[in-house]
Amino acid sequence: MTTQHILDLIKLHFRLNWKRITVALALFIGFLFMCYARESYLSWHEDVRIEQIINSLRESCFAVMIIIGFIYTIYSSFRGYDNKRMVATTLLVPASTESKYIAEWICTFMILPLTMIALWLVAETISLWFNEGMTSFSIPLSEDVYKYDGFLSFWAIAHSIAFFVRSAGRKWYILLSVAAGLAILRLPLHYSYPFQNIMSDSHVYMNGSHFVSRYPVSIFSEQMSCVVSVFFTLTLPIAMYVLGYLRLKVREL
Amino acid sequence: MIKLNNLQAGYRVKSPVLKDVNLTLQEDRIYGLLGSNGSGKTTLLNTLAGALEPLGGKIEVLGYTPLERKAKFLEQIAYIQDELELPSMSAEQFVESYAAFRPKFSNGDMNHYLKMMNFTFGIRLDKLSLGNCKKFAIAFALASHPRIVLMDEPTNGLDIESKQALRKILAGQDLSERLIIISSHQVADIEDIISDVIILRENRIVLNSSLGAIGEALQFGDIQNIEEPLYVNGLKAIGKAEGDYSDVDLESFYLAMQNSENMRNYLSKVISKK
Repeated sequence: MTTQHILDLIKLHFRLNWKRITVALALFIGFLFMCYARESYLSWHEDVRIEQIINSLRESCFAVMIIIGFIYTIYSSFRGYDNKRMVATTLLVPASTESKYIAEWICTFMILPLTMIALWLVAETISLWFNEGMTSFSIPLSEDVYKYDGFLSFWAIAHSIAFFVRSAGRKWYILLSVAAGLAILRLPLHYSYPFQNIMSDSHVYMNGSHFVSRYPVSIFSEQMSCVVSVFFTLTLPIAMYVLGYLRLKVREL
Repeated sequence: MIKLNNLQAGYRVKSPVLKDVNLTLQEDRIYGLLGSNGSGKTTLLNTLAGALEPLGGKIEVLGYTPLERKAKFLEQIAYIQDELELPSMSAEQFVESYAAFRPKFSNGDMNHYLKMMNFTFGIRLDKLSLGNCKKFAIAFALASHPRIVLMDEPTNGLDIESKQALRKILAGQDLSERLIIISSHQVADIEDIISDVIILRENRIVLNSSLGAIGEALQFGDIQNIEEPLYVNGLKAIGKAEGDYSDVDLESFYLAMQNSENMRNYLSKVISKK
């Protein structure tokens, strides 16, 4: 495994897939523009209404990011899967299996999702900057870690599906590992819900004089829950890679 | 350079395409791989290249196990498949992307080979005709100067001039510490350039011999010139050698080997005595 090979493989990946990446990013930027370019929420003077609109925008962007990311990951991972001519060309590029794994992981799991998150942060920052009054009503997107955690979880699931199917390893062994990983992943997601947005959040309700969350309480603190969740989210596809590598092959004709 | 011991290869465990293949291939040779459809030629090449896991037996290429697909192994091997699909990019972009993995690649050699084969420049690779795809793949592979070149039906889709150019290019290759394996149905395209022949029949190797040994053991000529023909193919015949070396009529020899088991055994015995 060499760093130069990994960089060359990353360049090759973008050279082969630039159209797909451009379409994915263009769709996402278009959607961001449609969401955040609207100024209609300025006409709303009630604080709660503005807060609801911001959360609604974020939920929409979050959903679109997941859909685009999921489709992109599955399509890229299975590109040419049935095509023996393309499989041989990919398999026999003179780079080690580890380099190919790492390069593909960086391309599909790091660069594109991080680019989309960065674009989202920029769009919201610009929009909120033009509408100064709104900043006091919402948690900054950069601190809304629950959204990134969820996004990476879906992305990891897409990767895991792709690697499970493509892997030549023992399928039942991989399936058990994925099931165990997902089960562990669920635990930290059930953390104490922050009560900052109680007025607009449907998951929190009044029970007499108390606020109650529909989410079960976790043994972890909120921050630790996120850390653990992200850790398993990131390691799930790595685990798939490792399990596939142990059989010393990715795909074969 | 290549050693196969009791190799079983194929796509399904219960029905291997190749059975009990034992083969040792040396450097400084160009091997012609002949066999009927479904006899296992492509399967053998896929297994040697590391694109297919053997179902059994042992395989060693340049001291490596092909299936491990180590970078050092893949650098030393070039595989030109029968059916090619090149990516959607220009020739220059392809060279820039893929030559990075081939430390011995020579752009000058590649351009030279492409000009010899009258390659059509300026078209995106995914828009090329089959023949031009083949020319590009062959030129890139040879310009990478690998130690082992595997070619599956390289002349398919090539016009007559390009076939002639390819024969010249292959004949002019420096084979020191290298070997080339060419699988082909078009015997006439390769018989002038190969030094050895491997014949597959019914999932097994029935012959692995140099053309020199065949030419010393048998004589090939017109039917009226061969006194006691062992095999007749139209107006041509094969007989036992009478001292002088005979240029091998590879097509007739291949047909003789496919004819019957008795003929195969007899010819193999005659050749092995030499």
